[in-house]
Amino acid sequence: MEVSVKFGKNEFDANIEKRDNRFEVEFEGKKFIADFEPLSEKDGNLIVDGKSYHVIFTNNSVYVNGVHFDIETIDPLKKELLKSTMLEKDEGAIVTSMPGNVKRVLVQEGEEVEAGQPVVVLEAMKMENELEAPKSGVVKKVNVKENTPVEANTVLVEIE
Amino acid sequence: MFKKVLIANRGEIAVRVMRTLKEMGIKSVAVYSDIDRKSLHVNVADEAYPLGGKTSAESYLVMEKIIEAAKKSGAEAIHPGYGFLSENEKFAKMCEENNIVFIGPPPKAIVSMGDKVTARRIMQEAGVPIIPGLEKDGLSEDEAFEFAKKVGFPVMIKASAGGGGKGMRKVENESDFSKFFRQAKSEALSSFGDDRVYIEKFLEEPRHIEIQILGDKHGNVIYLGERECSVQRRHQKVIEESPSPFIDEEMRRKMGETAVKAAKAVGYYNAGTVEFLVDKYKNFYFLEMNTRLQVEHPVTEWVTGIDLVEYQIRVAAGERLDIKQEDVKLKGHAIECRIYAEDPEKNFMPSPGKIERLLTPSGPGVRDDSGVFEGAEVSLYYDPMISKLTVFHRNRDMAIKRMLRALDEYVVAGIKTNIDFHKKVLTHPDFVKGKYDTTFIDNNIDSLLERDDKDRDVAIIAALIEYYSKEDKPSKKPVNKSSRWKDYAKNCWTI
Repeated sequence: MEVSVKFGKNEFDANIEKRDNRFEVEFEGKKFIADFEPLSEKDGNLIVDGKSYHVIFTNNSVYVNGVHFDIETIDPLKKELLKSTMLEKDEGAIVTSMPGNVKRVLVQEGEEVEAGQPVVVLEAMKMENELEAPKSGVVKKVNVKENTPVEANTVLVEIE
Repeated sequence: MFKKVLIANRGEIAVRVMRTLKEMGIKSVAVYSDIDRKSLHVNVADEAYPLGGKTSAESYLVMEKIIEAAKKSGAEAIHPGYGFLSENEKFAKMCEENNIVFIGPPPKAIVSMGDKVTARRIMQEAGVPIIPGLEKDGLSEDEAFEFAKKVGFPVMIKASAGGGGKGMRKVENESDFSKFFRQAKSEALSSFGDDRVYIEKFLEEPRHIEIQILGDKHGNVIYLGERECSVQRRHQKVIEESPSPFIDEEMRRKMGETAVKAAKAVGYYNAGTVEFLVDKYKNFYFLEMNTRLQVEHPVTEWVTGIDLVEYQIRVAAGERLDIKQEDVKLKGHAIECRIYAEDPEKNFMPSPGKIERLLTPSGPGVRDDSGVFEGAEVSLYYDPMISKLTVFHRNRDMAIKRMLRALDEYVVAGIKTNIDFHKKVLTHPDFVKGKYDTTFIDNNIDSLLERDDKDRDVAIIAALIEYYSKEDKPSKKPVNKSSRWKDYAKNCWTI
């Protein structure tokens, strides 16, 4: 089975086949034989080259012996289609990765900002966190007001 | 002795207090907010009463609700844990007025020592060295700025009613002053309901070393050695150890006796902590006193063999301390790692969410004071600390190795944690040598954040097996007869 893999900034193709309860895996010019034993719906034991690993799967992550990895896997055909249909990710958007309360908005629309300049102060879990501008530019839009709650993945401020 | 005690707190500290209560044959009463209905402390308690509300301000900080729950349950005493109402003199008084014993110091001592400004003044009068600073009610930004220029940067701005790193900012230069002053005030207001701040000179190469004291209502006060708490980030302790690798027997005695003198000056009883800043010449300066049980109390329990919560309860019930200073013998070495729900790779942003999988360490010399369980939701409404992992061994080197082993066993999936970050700190040569101060994390942040990708290939294999297993399963969905192109467009990257 052909699979496209994305790990960090690297994207590459991999192949995985199952023979006699073992997986033969190939990527980046390397070949592996893996013995996988599920322990529950979420985790299992993996033996590769005689080394034993506890692996856990959550919605979008793999944990190997407790260490977390974000790895994306997709059918190569779907990947090609996605590329042609997906909009370019806006690199000027300041998005909150967690829900919280907007404590302060430090910029106004039309204001020039430097990369790394604090833009919004978000309060969550009793701590104030400064969210910084991902790039230098002009504030195109401020989508939030002070002292209002926001959900995760909200675009707070847009910079162009 | 009490028959029933209410714990006015949540999470790991509520569970920790309940454990000792159970050992003492005392019934425990939990209180909980709407968010915490499924929390561990509710399940561990003998009785539980709802407070309603989501935020701390709507629940754990509402004194009337806590008192009402205590009366309803018939609890004779309230243990406040740490944070929340633990250093609130009004609450301690309210307990007294309602004939409920507050398991903590007398309200007068909370006022004297809990307020950082008053505490500094008392210490100065007692002849204890303090750091040059400016504290006054209604300290304005301009006055603070003038002082900062006079003593020279860096300076520290701190919440008068503060603790735990909240409302605290280090200011390196003039241009940052205004921003950080306002931040400290606003954080102080939201954390403690009091926006007063004070300013002091920042010592270079400072170590944060604190003395644990214990006093009874009969005037006896002892000290139980020290805790080294210099591994900090944003003034929040991350790793603590006891004894400190920096101080010797003579210095321990001096600091201990100073701490006892400070406690006696305000008629202190129960458990308390006197925090000192120590410079590289081994001069120590009074920093503040915490009039409550500390998060990091287990390391002291390991090396002294004393259950601090048990003694808090005994003292509150009027018992005399049955330990004299000469009975206190420090043995071995203990380390604590605070396990936070946060993402070190994203500037330590808190990481609330569901704990999908949880494997906690155990084995020889390991203690995990946890407030969570597999399937628990880590709420964004409360502190991100999910557990305190402590280890004990015969010496410091062995304790570090034991902690690394325990951290290897610790798996929390579904949310991000600082477990890997702890491993990086514990293997850093300066930490291993014991040569570190409060700037350690800031000065080494890049190397401490380096990812350990040695098992990258294994992770990719695992992700591929997961993908294969999903793709290989015959779909249970009815066959979609429309064009497959539409399906492809709807799909996105998945594991």
